[in-house]
Amino acid sequence: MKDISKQYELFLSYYNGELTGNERAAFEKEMEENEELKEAFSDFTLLLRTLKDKESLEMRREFKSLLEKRRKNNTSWIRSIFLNPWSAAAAALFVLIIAVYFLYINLFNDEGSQDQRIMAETTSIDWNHPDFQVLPEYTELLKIEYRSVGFMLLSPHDSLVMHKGEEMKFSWKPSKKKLMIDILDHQGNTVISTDEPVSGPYFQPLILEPGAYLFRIRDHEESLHWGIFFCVP
Amino acid sequence: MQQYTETEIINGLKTMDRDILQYIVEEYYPSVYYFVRNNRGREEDAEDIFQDTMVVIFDKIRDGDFDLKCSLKTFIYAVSRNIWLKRLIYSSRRKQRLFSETDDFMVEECPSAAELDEDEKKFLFQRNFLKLNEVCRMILELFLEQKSYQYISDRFDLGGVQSARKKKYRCLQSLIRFIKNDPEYKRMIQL
Repeated sequence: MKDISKQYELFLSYYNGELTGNERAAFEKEMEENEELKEAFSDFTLLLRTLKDKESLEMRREFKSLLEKRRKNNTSWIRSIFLNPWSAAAAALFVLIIAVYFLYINLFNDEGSQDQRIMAETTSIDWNHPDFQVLPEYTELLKIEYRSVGFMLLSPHDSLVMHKGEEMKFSWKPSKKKLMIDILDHQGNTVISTDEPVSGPYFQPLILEPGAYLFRIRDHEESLHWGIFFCVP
Repeated sequence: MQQYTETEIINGLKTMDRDILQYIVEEYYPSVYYFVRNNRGREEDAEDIFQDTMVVIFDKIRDGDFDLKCSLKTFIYAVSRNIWLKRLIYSSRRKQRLFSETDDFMVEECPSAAELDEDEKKFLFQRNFLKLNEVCRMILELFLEQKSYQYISDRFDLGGVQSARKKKYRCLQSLIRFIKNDPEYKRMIQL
């Protein structure tokens, strides 16, 4: 695209047929010789065509207004909380109670019992319940996230939830590039590591206890990609 | 909320049925919003991308060029995704490299980013035209309809042909200024 701002008055006069015969001929000759001018004029005529397309503009205007209205509606309840002193005080109190509750858990629960609690919670969850079934659109979103960075973790069920004993497939591009894969538990301990760089795709059986895990793909210098998955019984 | 079939939605888009447009926003905008927000975009970017997408679809329907090979939801999502990823690619060489490496993961049956090249400038012009005030928009519209300066002057009580000419000039200048200040324009100029 070329800068259309420099000569738009001239462009407009030409477009409207307001130039004299000589001016018109000179302008056309210059366009023949000057590619940049020709492209700028082409962009300018596109601008005029765009503005003449009232239906398309009207469509954009309608959606713009609907989206703005939606945004206002979505934020107005939050704003209304903070505009009313009583509701603002109630919200602050609520946040304070939550903060104290979590501080209490962190201060008085020792590490061992936390581990047991997390393990107990993970194993007691019914992962087959419909609430935990990953919706197709979110699975797709997840994949796109992976695609945009070039790394992928493929699971048998195409979701973040995998069963113990199943095989995970890590892939990246270019696959010939050798990288290392680590799997870390919720405390940050490395529970599985390739130790040496491997080429993709790399298959890893899921020989882990139920819980939430992070995977990290890295080279010797830096981590290139992080992700999360859940291992269930 | 009332549910509509894809045929009803497409017909509603053609006629700009307000209820259908509202339904489209409620039903299809959230996935576009989350995609843009998760890929370094702001809420305003998500809204722009969604408007661009709906213009693409509306133009295709109007030109009889709308061939739906996947669900409408997937189509809208794919167009939005391609427009946004394309902007990201242009804004970063590094992303361009990564994106080209992962091209084979794209949804093939839906519109490709290449198809959207021509529309980019149109989006830029439309977006900035809508930033003008109502009077300026109407003056430029009348001017493009080749209404006389006398007519424009009478319509907006501008006090004569010269004033109408000046007003049109100022409106056009404002539009050009908005376009020039748009980050997308700066990006396109550099290509």
